[in-house]
Amino acid sequence: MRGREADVARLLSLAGQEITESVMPQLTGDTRYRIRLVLNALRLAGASVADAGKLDDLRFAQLRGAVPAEPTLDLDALEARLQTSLRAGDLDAEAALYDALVIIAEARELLAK
Amino acid sequence: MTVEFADNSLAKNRPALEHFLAEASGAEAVTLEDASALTGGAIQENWLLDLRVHGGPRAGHQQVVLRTDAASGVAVSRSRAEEFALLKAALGAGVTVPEPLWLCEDLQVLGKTFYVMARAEGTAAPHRLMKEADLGGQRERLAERLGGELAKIHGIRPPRAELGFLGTPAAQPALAAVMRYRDYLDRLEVRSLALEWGLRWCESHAPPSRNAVLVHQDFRTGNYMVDRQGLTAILDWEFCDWGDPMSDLGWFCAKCWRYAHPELEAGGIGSREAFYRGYEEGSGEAVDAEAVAYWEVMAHIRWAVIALQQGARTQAGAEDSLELALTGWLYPPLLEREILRCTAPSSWRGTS
Repeated sequence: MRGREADVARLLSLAGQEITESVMPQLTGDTRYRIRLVLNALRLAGASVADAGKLDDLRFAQLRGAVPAEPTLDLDALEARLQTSLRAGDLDAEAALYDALVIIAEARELLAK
Repeated sequence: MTVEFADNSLAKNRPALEHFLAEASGAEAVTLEDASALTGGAIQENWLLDLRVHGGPRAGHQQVVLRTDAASGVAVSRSRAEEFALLKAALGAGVTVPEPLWLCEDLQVLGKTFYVMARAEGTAAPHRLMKEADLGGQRERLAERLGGELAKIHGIRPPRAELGFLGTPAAQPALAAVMRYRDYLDRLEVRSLALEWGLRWCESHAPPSRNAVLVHQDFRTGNYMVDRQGLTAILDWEFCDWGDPMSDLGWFCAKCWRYAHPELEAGGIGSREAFYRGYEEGSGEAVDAEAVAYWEVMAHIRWAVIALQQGARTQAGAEDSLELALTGWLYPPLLEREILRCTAPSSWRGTS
């Protein structure tokens, strides 16, 4: 993570902490629910900034390792190719692709939690 | 969120609304004393109305619910007029629903179609059902009752003239769903290989077609109301269609709708056995457990696609809703993981 991104992630984290520790305990009902949404948004934004493209790198590495493809394809083109192949049934029950998708999904899930 | 009556959008149309309500209810006059927005319903607006009805068969104080469109909807949502017809059909079939009262398609009243229904007592909030063990009455009985209610809905079968807007049932509902969700993903310009994987699994494992019935398509915890005694109403009829009855059972039992109690396979509130028992007793037909499992996979795909659509509504600038934006961010990754868990290579036919 670069310096600026680290600062933004830290700022969002502090904002979330402030809400959790100082604001939330005083709230009830619908207002508490609304602030919880704000807190979730801050957390997601912070996680995305902190990620700084690492998830894309992981996707690219996993997918390229899972299926033989032209080395010149970038991530977008590779995913487009795989989407077409999946819909055509060319990758049915393909274990290596499945394993790659699970690793990617776990990383995405971690980011969303 | 509570909005002061004087500030809300209904107050601006008060005279026209009062006039409509008086005419529709057969009253001499109706006074709209209060209107408050009800929480829930990302696609529709629901308002609790306090009415003073002067004369006619409903004279006195009445609390009713007015339902109309939110700023934008999702592609598969039925119109309010269609929803009103569906509610009437459901009531006629003996389903526990809020009584549909009056439909207004005159745009001069509120600027959009709306209908009014009786107010159902209780709550639909999933977090309360998860926390308050006595809410909804005895839980196994509630699960069984819900199975029975679903059987009544499925007793509505095509053709039905008043439900002509539903069109002709798809010959193969599962494959039609696969095509539809691929189309939605394309239109959203979303490329999710996990969803594509799941869709391909659904395409190649589609259950045999069975006779089409009315499917609710959003029959889940959060869309029925309960009080301390039990069920008071089945809500949210906006996604109804002709389809495979097992799809509704799969939606209800899907892990994504069990909230804080994934171990309670019937909507996080009871056992699958009780739910199935209620359904089988009500319908006289056996539950096809394998088909339900299939539709549970489809349920996760469908919810992921809907979540993406809801998120896109905020990206397009049509609606400033943090709730919808978060739905689009939060849910698809969690659902993708579950879809993959259910569709491992070993589960593909011919690959054991």
